[in-house]
Amino acid sequence: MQRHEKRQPDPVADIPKWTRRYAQSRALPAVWFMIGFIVIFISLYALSHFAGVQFRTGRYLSGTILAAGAAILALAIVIGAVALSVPRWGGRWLDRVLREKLYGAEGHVAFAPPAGSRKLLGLAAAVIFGFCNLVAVVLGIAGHIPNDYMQPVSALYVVPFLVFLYFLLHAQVHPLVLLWPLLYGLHALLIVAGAPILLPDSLDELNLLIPTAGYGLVAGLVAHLYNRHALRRLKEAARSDHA
Amino acid sequence: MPELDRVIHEPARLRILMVLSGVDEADFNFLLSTLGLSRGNLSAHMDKLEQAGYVAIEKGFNGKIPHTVYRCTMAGREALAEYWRQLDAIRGLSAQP
Repeated sequence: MQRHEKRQPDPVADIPKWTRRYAQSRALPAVWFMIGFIVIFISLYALSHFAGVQFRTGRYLSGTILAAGAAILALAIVIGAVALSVPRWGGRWLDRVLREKLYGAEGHVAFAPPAGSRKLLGLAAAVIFGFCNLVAVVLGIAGHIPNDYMQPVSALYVVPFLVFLYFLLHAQVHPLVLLWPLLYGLHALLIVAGAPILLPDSLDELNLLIPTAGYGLVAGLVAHLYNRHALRRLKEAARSDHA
Repeated sequence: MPELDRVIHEPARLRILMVLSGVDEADFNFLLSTLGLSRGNLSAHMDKLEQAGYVAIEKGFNGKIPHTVYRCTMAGREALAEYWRQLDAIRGLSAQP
């Protein structure tokens, strides 16, 4: 028998790595957020679309009711978005409720949130992102950006913003989230290259929804699948007989 | 022959510290579901780790439900690193002809 056997890797030594990867890839709250965003966007789109149809066919009363519904929904979205983006006003509560519902059986595991200068950098990036978004929408409405190029133009600030957010939060989130800006950027390049991926004019709004929330949903689901794998590996390592 | 830290050398406590060293904090339920220990067993190990200064405990409430969060202290991280160094040294000695 050979005395100097090659030492087997110790699974216990991998426990911190799999714990970290598991905690970083708990993406289900983001997945549900994206699904909510898609449902709200489609509801808003349907209300305004049918309001337009009613007005065009001379049914002004039903058109006005639908348009009012769309306006109320839009207002509720803005108020909700503002409230939930501030931790003290509801963001922390929503985060806690979602995590309890989705990961309650697996328990709580977390990294400390960014503080100090990193928090300020995140806030500054969000303000710049909001400003770029507003400018793009205004230029689009004024006709300076063709509808077909709204997504490629938005990629100029969406991709850097998402990549910057990742580097700001890299300790808390898994690199798989970079799939979102990657797909968003690729989508923009394909449009610029003339690939036939744009939807017809009647479904024009979806040309922005699919890359924005759709790719976010894809990235979230991929991260969730990885999360299940990480949990399985973590349990295997934590219950092994080594060390 | 280097002396191993008896607090960490117990398999369950080693695994608890390894889990906590990978993140900033974890609660009782997470450790329970990950390690597959009984509640009493886990609780006893956490008490020993806290007495050794390797783990900090924060007791609070999640709504009306008691919620206990654990963090690996700096002393715990240093002790864990030292434990692996000593274990490697012992393994190195045992591998010598």
